[in-house]
Amino acid sequence: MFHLFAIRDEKLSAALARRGRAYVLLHDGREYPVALRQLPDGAAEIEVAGNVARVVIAREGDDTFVRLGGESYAVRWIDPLDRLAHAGGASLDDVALAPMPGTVVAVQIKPGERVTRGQTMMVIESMKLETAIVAWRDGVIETLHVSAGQTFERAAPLVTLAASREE
Amino acid sequence: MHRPIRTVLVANRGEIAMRVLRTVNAMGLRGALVYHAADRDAPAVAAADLAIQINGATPVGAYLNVEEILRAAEQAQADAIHPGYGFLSENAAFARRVAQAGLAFIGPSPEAIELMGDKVRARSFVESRGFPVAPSAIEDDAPASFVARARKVGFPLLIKPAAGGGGKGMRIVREAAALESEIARARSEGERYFGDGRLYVERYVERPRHIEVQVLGDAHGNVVHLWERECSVQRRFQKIIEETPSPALDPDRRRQICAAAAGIAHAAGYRNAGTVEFIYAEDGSFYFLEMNTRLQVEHPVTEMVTGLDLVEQQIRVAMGERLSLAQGEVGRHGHAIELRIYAEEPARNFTPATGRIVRLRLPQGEGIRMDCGVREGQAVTAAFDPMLAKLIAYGADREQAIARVRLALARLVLLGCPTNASFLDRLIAHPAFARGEIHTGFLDAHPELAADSPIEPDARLALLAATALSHPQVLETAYAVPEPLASIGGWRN
Repeated sequence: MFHLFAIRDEKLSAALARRGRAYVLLHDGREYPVALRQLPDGAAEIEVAGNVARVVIAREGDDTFVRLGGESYAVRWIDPLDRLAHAGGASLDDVALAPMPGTVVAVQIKPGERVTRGQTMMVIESMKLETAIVAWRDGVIETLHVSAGQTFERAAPLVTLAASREE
Repeated sequence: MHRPIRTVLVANRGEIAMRVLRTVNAMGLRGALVYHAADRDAPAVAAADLAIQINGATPVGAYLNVEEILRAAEQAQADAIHPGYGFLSENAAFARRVAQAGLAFIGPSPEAIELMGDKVRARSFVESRGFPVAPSAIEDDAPASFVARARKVGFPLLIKPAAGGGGKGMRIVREAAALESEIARARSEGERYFGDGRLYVERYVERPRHIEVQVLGDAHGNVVHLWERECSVQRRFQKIIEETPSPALDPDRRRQICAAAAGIAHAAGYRNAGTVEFIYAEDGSFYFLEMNTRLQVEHPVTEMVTGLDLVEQQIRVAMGERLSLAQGEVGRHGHAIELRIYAEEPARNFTPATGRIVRLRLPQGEGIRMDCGVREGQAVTAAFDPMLAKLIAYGADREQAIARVRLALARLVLLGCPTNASFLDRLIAHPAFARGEIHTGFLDAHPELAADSPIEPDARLALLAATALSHPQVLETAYAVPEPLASIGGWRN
């Protein structure tokens, strides 16, 4: 089966298949013989269609971290269940996600309150700078996910606007 | 007067806690450490002879909690407290409380901290002693006319909180129209960070270099300088690469700027380690920026070219000893450069990053020093400053120091949390950096350096293959491909 992977902002689909005792990677309509060999020093060699590169690989949950050619990459395996869960749920367009980790300085809205596009809903602070989170469209505050003084990680939901109705 | 010190309590965390503990032990002293629960997996907690947990409203609050730290000092039977940098290191009230508790504060006098901590007073003091300062307007002089006087300083100008430091609340204003709104924003930040909304503005020098001078004073009136450091590569007013000697200074200018720093420290009756920071303009003029009354993050480059251990010097001064060397005996050999490794994503506007460090391999080699505050398995959270470690390289000359630091950076393995490591490599590989043509706006002028390098097709395949072959869920689904179909190569997603 094909799996979905994310590297930076790019989504890539690939499958792994066995051919006898060896593996092939199926990607973008082509197949490549692949092999991974552990080295005694904790690194590994990855071989793709005859090209060999030295890598260091470490895994944590759905993330595989790969050191390759002087760069460190995170390759996220996107769980097929997550892909389905998002299909019918609330649209991400209704949620303001934290652009960076930080702290909530002030909240200027309450659930149920009507906001207009451009209105400041809250002020967050990160890296010593204040940033206003403004309403990106007219709407009604459905959920306030954070309160003043609270810290949050990047991509944490801050505010959800009620799903927009066609009027 | 000699004051014996047997146990030093380190009131800090991360790499600087490790750094201070190393010298404390090397001097045969006992090293105690305070830590918040969020730091329980940190290597410094394991390295200390005694680690005492402290509490606070937030993790950062714990390290600012004077009562908790004094309680820990008592419990550890400490004779002295080393504050590191940040947190309480430049808090005069804390220095006083430490002295009142009968302990030595490893740092300057509370009076010196107060003088230099108030940027407005510090500037007036330096100016009154005949050292160069930039054109400026100080709100306190006449609050009603502040905006008008700020306008007269001319644009571009820099707004700074009177009580500030470390770049917090500073804003560059390039046109008169934005002045009043930027003043309001800077005031709000100043009030929040320092509990003090007073401001001042000064002329902003275009393409300035940041050159600072390490000074060291004892309790007997002796002051020496330990040469300069250039810290011009900055993002958002925070240093990321530091080196010594500065590629910008000729011997005459070096003598002048170092003598000015030592003169300022002497005039202030300064004791212990401190740093006098200057703005250095393209025409060779320089003026006082501020004095940091603590050990600096970038002190290792000074240690590498002078052969001195600055933490040892600090402790000896706190013991009441005289400086062991006169100005003429302060040597300087070779070149040293330091890179700050941050948990951050340069391509996302340098936003701090988090994650558990799943693999950590520190580079070693001739002239390489790594001051690291994290260990494998530890989670990097948003609770603290994102600086994880410092990579320092020494070379016979600048070229060798740069070559060595790049090699070491290539050998650093830190997986699980994004870092600025490859960005740092792009930066030091830049021809302008190699030529030493740097200024504090260098990164703003070269935004392309912050962007991720594109992933080449071969690398993309290697990443997918490495991931697929080490991922249990993917390996589970590997299926046998019939030979004829596979050989056609006609797979479509």
